[in-house]
Amino acid sequence: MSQTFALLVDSYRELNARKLFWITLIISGLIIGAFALVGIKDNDITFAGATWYVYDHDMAVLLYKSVVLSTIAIGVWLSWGAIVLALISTGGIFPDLISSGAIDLYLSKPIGRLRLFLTKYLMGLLFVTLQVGIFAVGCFLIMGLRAHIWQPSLFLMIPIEVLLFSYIFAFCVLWGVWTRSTIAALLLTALVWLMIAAVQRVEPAVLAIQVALEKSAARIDHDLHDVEKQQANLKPSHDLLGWNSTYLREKHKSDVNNLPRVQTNLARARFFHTMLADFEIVIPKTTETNNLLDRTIISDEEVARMSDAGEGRRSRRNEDFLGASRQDVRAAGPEVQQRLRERTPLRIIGTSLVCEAVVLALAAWIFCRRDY
Amino acid sequence: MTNAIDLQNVAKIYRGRVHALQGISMQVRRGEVFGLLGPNGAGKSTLVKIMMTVVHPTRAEGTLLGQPVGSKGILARVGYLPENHRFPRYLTGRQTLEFFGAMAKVDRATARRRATELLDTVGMRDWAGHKVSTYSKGMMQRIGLAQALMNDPDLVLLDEPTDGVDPLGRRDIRDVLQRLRERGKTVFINSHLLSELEMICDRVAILVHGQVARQGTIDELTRHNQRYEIELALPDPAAARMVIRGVLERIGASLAEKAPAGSPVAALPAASPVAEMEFRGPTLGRLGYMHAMPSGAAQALADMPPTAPPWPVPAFAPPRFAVDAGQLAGGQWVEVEGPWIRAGTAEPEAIQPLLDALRGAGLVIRRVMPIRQSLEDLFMEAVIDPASGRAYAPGGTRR
Repeated sequence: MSQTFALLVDSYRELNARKLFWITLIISGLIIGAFALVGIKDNDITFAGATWYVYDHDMAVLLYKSVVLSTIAIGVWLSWGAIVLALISTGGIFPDLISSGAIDLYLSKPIGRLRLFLTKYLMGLLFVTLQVGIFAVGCFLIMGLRAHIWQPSLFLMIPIEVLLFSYIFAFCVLWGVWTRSTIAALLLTALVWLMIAAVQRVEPAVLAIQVALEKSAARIDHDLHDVEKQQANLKPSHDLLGWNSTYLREKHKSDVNNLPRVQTNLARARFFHTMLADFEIVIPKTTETNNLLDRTIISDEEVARMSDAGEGRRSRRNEDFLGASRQDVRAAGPEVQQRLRERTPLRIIGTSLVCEAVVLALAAWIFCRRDY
Repeated sequence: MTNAIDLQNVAKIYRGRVHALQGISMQVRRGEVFGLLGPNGAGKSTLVKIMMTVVHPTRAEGTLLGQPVGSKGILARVGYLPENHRFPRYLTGRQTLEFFGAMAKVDRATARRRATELLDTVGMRDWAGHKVSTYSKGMMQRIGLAQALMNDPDLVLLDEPTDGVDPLGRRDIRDVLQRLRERGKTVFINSHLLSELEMICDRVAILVHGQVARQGTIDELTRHNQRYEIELALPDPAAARMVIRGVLERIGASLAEKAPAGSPVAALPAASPVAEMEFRGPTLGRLGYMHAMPSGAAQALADMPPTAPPWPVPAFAPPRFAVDAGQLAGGQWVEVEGPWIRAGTAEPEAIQPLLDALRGAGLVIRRVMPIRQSLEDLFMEAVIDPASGRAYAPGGTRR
């Protein structure tokens, strides 16, 4: 226990000695300061003395949480900025530990290699825990004082962001132990992170296309049956000029032409989505883990309200997309959101932790087996 | 009483082809100061790192303080100063000692007390509050030594402890080691400073190409080369040659212009019949008392730096004299070279008749010196390949 405590104190001293720790803390402070400029007054949002008239208290709260907190503070700063700085700060922990002359001092002590590895790994998470902890307290107080929203669930950002960082840090540790170089570890980690982020961006987009095409295929199929029924039931007395029969014939022709194209595209979309979804299962889900925080801050009802409010501002594109009609593409959005929000935290975190455990196990194996 | 270190058949093969250690067997007794010598790449650090669990052995039997090699638990009773150690730069000297004390399972109160004592012992009390990043190499060594002693170990392994330390610091470190020995602690030193080891070590081992080439007390290892040197005060040494030969023959010695068996020169590879030495500048001049060699070997010697002769050399550079060599009546080898007479014995009784005879002949004896092979001589003897007359190539054996 004294060894673990000594390593904890040592990690704190190490962080304290790093300028980047303080720079990150200062940036966090500045963001909280900027956050404090935004507030809610009655039914409107205020920003540094200016008022943005919303005329609806609930909508003002929703905009405040969605734009200021979720998108900027968490989405941009915590999910990217702070983690990049944290990686730069902690990326050298393992390469420094296993450098010649340093590792001998640790391994010659009565502490097992695996324990040393895991303790050092956990101490690496200390950086983010401290940073996010301070940020969470600041956000909680500012939201309460400036927007009168006292939301304790905001403190969930501490475990969630630490978890998110731990996925990335595991890769950084693996590359650090393997290459013994901080620069190589950081570059390789950035590559992995970008790949993970790209997959998580593309997968929902492909899902949206798939859903839109499913809707279109179902609608065209339904329309075909409908048209055929109408054609069968059309009485000549009701179509003296032949307009109805012409319309139905043209509609039938158009649907018959469209259906195979939509079905082909749907098959392709399903194939790509299945491939991406299967791949996504085995990688850490950084974006989805981060979205878990959104789920606690913004409820399903609030999401639905935002979708309704945003309806009028959506794309006015009239043309079809890969055979899916405009209204199907629009209708797919909320459904995709719903499907993504239906993914359970257990699935998101569980599969990510399995990946993290595998990466860490590989790093630990290298660390424990290597001759220094 | 069991040995502090008892190694049997320790081997290490890197990447399946570099044989760094080839079946090392070594015993270090409790309470002694043991020195490990060897050229670069001989496997010294690998051996120490195996004992400290930093390197996994390919094969290892034996014990460290009675526990199997590789056991982590026993390291709580072992102190270790690695070569070129790197302490965390953000820690002060005191924090470093307390941190590594805690890592060695020393409780906090004891660690604080020990840190104060050891800072004083190694002369770093005034620097205790400064960051180690501000320390000089010598100061780092002092703190490193203190770190190795934080857990009051029964066995201390020091890898180049005096590296970068000034003479005063070296004396301080020697004193610390001396005190450890007096307290019954075992000290294992790995060092290139042979004179330092000679001063402090009870026993030494010389590692060459991953094998123990020599092991024993310094006295045991150098005994076969102990001799007496007698210097006569002669106005014309060349002219006195026949007088000295006559004196030696009167006490039963047989002499010829030939290197006798048992003399240091007999160990030379493929030596040619003894002949008048052909001197080739200062390098060969220092070795000239021995004998001429085949042209290749002589050239190899001429190419070697004068600071690194391949075998024991006398403490003086003899001028150009012929060498008469033979045996005393007791069987010990004897050489006469100008005003110097060398006899291959460490016993004063064996040399006494010779001294009496020389005085009886009216020769003036300037000095009589018992000569022992130095540790450096022994080291050089061990690291020279007898077949080629050159030092072994550094590094492990590749297969």
